[in-house]
Amino acid sequence: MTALPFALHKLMTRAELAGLIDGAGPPGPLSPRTLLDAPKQLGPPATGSLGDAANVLRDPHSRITLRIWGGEEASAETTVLFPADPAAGGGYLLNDVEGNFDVSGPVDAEQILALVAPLLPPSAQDIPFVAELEPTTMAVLAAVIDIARDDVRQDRIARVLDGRRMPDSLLADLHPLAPARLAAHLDAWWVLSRFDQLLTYAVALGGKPKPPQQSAVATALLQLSEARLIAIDDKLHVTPTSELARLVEAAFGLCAGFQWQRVATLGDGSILIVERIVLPCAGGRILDLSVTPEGLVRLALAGREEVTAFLIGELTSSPAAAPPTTAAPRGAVQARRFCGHCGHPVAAADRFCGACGGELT
Amino acid sequence: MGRRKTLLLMLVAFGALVLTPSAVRAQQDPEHDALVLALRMQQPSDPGWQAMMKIAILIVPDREMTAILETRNNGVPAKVFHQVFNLLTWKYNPAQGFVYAGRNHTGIRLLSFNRPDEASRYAASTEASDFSGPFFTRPACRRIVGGRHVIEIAGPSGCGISFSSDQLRAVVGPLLDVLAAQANKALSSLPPPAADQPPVTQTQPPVSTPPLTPEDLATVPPLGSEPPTMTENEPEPQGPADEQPVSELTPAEIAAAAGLAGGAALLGSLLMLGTSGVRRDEAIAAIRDLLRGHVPEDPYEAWKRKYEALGWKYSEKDGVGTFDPIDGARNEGGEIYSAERGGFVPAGEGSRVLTSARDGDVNERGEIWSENEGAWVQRTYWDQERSRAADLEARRAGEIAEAERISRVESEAASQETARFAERIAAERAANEAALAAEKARLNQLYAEHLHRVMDAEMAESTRQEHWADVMAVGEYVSKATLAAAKTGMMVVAGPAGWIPAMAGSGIISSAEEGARAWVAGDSGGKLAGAFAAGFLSGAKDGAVGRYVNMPRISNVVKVLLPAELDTAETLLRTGDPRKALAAGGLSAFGGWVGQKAGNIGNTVTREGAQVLLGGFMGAVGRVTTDGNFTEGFIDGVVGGIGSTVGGRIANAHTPMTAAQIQLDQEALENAAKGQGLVDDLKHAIAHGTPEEQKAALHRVLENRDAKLQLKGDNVDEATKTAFAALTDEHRTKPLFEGTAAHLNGQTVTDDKGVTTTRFVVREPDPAKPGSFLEREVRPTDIKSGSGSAGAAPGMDLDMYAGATIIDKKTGRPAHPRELEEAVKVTCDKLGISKSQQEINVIHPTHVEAYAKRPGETPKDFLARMNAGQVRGSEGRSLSEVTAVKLAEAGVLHNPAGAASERCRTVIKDYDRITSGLLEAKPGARLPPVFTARNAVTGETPMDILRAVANGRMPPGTADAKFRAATGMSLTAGAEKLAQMPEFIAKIGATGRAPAGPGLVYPTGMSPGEIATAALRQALRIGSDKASRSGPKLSL
Repeated sequence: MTALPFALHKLMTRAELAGLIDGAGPPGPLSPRTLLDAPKQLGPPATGSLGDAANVLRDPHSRITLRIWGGEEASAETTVLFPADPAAGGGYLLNDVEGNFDVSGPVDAEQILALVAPLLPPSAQDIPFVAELEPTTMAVLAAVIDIARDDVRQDRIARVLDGRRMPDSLLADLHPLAPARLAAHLDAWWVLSRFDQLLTYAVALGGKPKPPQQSAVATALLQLSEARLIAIDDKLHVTPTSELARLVEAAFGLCAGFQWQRVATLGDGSILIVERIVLPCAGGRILDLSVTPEGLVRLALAGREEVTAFLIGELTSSPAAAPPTTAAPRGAVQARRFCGHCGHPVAAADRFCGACGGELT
Repeated sequence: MGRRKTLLLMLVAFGALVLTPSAVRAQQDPEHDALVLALRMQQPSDPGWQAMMKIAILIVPDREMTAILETRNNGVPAKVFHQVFNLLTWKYNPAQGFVYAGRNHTGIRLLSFNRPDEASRYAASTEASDFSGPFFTRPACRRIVGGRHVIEIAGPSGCGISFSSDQLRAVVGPLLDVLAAQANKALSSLPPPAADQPPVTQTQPPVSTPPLTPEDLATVPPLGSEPPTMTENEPEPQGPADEQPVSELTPAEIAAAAGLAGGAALLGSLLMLGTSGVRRDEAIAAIRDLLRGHVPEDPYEAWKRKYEALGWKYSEKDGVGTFDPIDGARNEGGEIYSAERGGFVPAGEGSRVLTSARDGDVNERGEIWSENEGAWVQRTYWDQERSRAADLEARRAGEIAEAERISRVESEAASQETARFAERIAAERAANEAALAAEKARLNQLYAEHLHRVMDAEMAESTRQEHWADVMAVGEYVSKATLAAAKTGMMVVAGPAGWIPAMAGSGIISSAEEGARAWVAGDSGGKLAGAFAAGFLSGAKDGAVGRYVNMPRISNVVKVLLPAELDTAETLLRTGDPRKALAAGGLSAFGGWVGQKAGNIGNTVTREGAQVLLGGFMGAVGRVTTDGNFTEGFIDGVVGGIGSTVGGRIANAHTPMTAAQIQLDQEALENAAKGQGLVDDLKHAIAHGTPEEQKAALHRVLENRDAKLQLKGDNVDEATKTAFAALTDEHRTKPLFEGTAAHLNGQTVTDDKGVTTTRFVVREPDPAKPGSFLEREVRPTDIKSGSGSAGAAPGMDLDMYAGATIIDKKTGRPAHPRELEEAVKVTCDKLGISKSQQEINVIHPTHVEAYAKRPGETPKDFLARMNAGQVRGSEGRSLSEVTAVKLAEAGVLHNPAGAASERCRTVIKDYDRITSGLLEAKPGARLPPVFTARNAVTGETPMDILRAVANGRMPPGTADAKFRAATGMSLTAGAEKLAQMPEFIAKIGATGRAPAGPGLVYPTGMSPGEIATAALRQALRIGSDKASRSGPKLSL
């Protein structure tokens, strides 16, 4: 196992990285320099491949961050900064190494694709399922799936040990889920991360900093009931429906996944962010999480082709065009837009920022 | 030089047409000291093609103003506006501007001098003027008119247009003749100088000429018609417009003329900027007004209005307008003209009858006072006069209305034309942007398709590996294998350091997970803490080991023992059993040692299989030592091994490609397809075509690199190859040699005594008289081919050289190689052969490709000597230069994909022919490792990649990506480096070895001077390489 022959492979301290970027000039909006808590360094500009890297780090046009999560193993994150569209190549890796930074490159789009390619299952089964929910509601749904999956697993183990036959359907003989258990499970997530839980990813993408209140959980359960994903009784005990059974089944093989984030500057100065979490599961199915322009969390069952098309589209499309203004079809890129002045989220059709009033076009 | 005023510059478009003047009109404007020329052009080759139109613009003193010619093909305007618009920022002469825009234009101007001798000197001078270039400095482009004026054809210099002498005579000469004749006519019709005017006319206004209008241009007399006579009795020019011949100008043409006039004024202002005092903003403002239809005050009109107001009578003859005083007319001094007295008299002294009667008053004689006549007239006369006045008034009103209408139409048409022009520019800009966007989209699409193929290939590999996992009944661990693969891939791409951020995170995660399980299981607090600690240690250990053992200069012993020690510690902590811990450590060390050995296995499949099985064995034994199940452990180990294999294989074996490299591959495919098409055409022509069709197909093949390559390959049958060789001999080599000999024989030289003889002869020993020589003409057999004999398959190029001693009688010495080169070039032109595309070279002893450095040594002998190691450093350098020249030529002759492939072909061919022999002959010499390092996964070396491209087995884009990944160099840089090998090898001594890096390594014993020279040469080479790659061309 050897590293690719990067022309540049350099480990440097925070101050050295700041000096490298400062030497190239004032930083752009996506420059990692804005995140470095270091005084301005005045020095001669770097030359050669390090100079190329400095120019890219000073004002990158787009940034791709890839987080790979594994169940029992580890997680890893790497960021690649590109001077233009990723298809043009010339990107540089920037990895945080215990407070220091590893700068390597140049990196091409295809190398990024090679990173995630092994994570995608080779076969695909197109099982249409799409749900777009508020982040809290999605967290509750993910918790229901996780608990149901644990219950099913324990039921299967007990049947093997007792010598009983397996049930005909996945969710048969499951006891209704008490609200208190659901709330405890949601609370526990913020204490103990488990990477084989769908809740982990749903919350990561929803960006909620703390567990939902009891009332919010109740509201979410009602919404999920209206969506016929669960059935609830008058005591809010939850029973998954057959519609949800497919998600529970898919989540059985869940132990790894990756999060994709592409950030790019648009022609009008605003920032485009595309985020997606892809979770390969058993049977070639993929749990596909993304954020809609309206801020909803979208959960879908996808096939390899769909995710591949998304990734390649991300690596070859130019972000010069405005993001879609209407709800995108299933599998399409989900874009979020932010004000270039203050960073506040803005709708696709907005002309002015609602927070600072800055012009977006 | 007494050049006084430049009067006129009129652009004439030749474009793709040969135009001759069909009508010319010349008029003088003394008030503005300008001559106005107008001419209409026709295309002689197409009599039906007509309605050519020209617009001439009046020129103000000391300023050049121009008129743009608009060519019209049967009424369809050519695109002149485009160029005019661009001239807003054009800083050079306007002709260059037009040529730059893709049209060939030239100009005509009239220069006036103070004295005839100055005009004569200018007309005969050969110096370049500010406008004319080297092609138009010759006197053939000038004519003297009117004694002190010169008409000059001025053309764009250095912009791709040139007239040969024949063309000058055919086109420029007649045009000048016509212009000169008409200008002389106009000049001779002018009134004599002021000094010759009668005294009484001292206040006579100058004779003037009305400016040309579009209507004037439409009524230009046809070429060859009789010029108007100059007698005073000549009747007045034809009267009202409706009595004139029908104008050829349509309203659209008139509108276009207005627009063109604006462009012309603009052009003129730019021309004179900085020299005439006209400010740019003034000129542009004037142009803007013109384009908007706001015609500025015309000096001629002002002059005319002034004398009309004074009561003078206007008449026009031969294009020259004059005012004559009539009774009652005043001069500028207020005097009144008296016909009776024949001159002006003070007011009050005139013959006019002073009376208080008003017009229409009747006197006692029944006469009626006519205000117009200033006298009592008969009623009949008075009525007629009134009626005539009313008619005139009505006609004048009608004319004014018509003029206003025409003006409105012109203005509107000009505005519309301007708007259309702006729209056209906007549309072209949009089209350009759309084309760029489309090109980018096409490239992105190409790249996306490539990425899809990459994903499919990787998926196929994953499927194969997972199938293996299924076979081994570990299918349920697919996700785990996938994770391991991803981790491995990430480490390969990002390097070990890239994995380090996971270290702390993975420790925490594992810790939390194990702690959570202990908590759920209801373990005690102590066990809970232990679980957290063990989990953290396990995760952190993996990260730390992964980083450390991959650092440089870490010995293999450490790489094996460190993980083993940590595994021992972890097992001890987990189990509390020292025996198991030591077993785990020993197993780890064993696995690491075996793993290193397995990593060195050359065969890819064997190596991967060994690694996977080792993983299974390690997992199984490890699980046993920790009270686990052997089978379960084996499966886990196999799964981990598979995952690592998948990830490592994908990341290592597959080489990422950029969009430019994808494009290069696409171009190579297109090249190959085109070459195949030409080969098929040749085959068809050989089987069914006429000799002419065969000849045409042959030359198309000979001018296409890919087609020639395919004909040299194994996919073409021998019959076709034989026919190809025969056709090449018949239609190229033979006529080329014959033509070259004939050209040389056709050259003559005249000696001092005036005797003319053949210039080139072959001198050979006289067999009858030993010691003396015979001279004879050059024969085709004296020209030799260095690229194979007749009947053999032609090579990629044709190297020609003189096989006999050709003497140049002009110098008395052997002919200079450039003479043979010129003969070959001329012959190629005559035969319609592209010398460069067919790569026809003339080789001579000083040519870089002439390997024979010792007198009398043939290339074959030279190669034999070289292969025996008997080659000097200078010869090695020469060999490297030969290859370098070919590499440079490849970049000129072919598109990027063809150039990249040709460079590889050239450098591999020369390596096989020259470098490999040198390497064998020189003890200790070897290629730098950068060419020989073998990829552990694919088994390829960089030399393999170069060879694969040379043989057409790998497209250049893919090869470039692989070569960069393996060496850090581009394919082109690699080829250049390989080309330098003969020089290196020839210069290093027997104990030396080839340099490993990009720099030179000089052997001990080399003199400082030699080292300095070689270093300088290397520096220059690098500098030139950088310079050549700095352009916008796609470079590898």
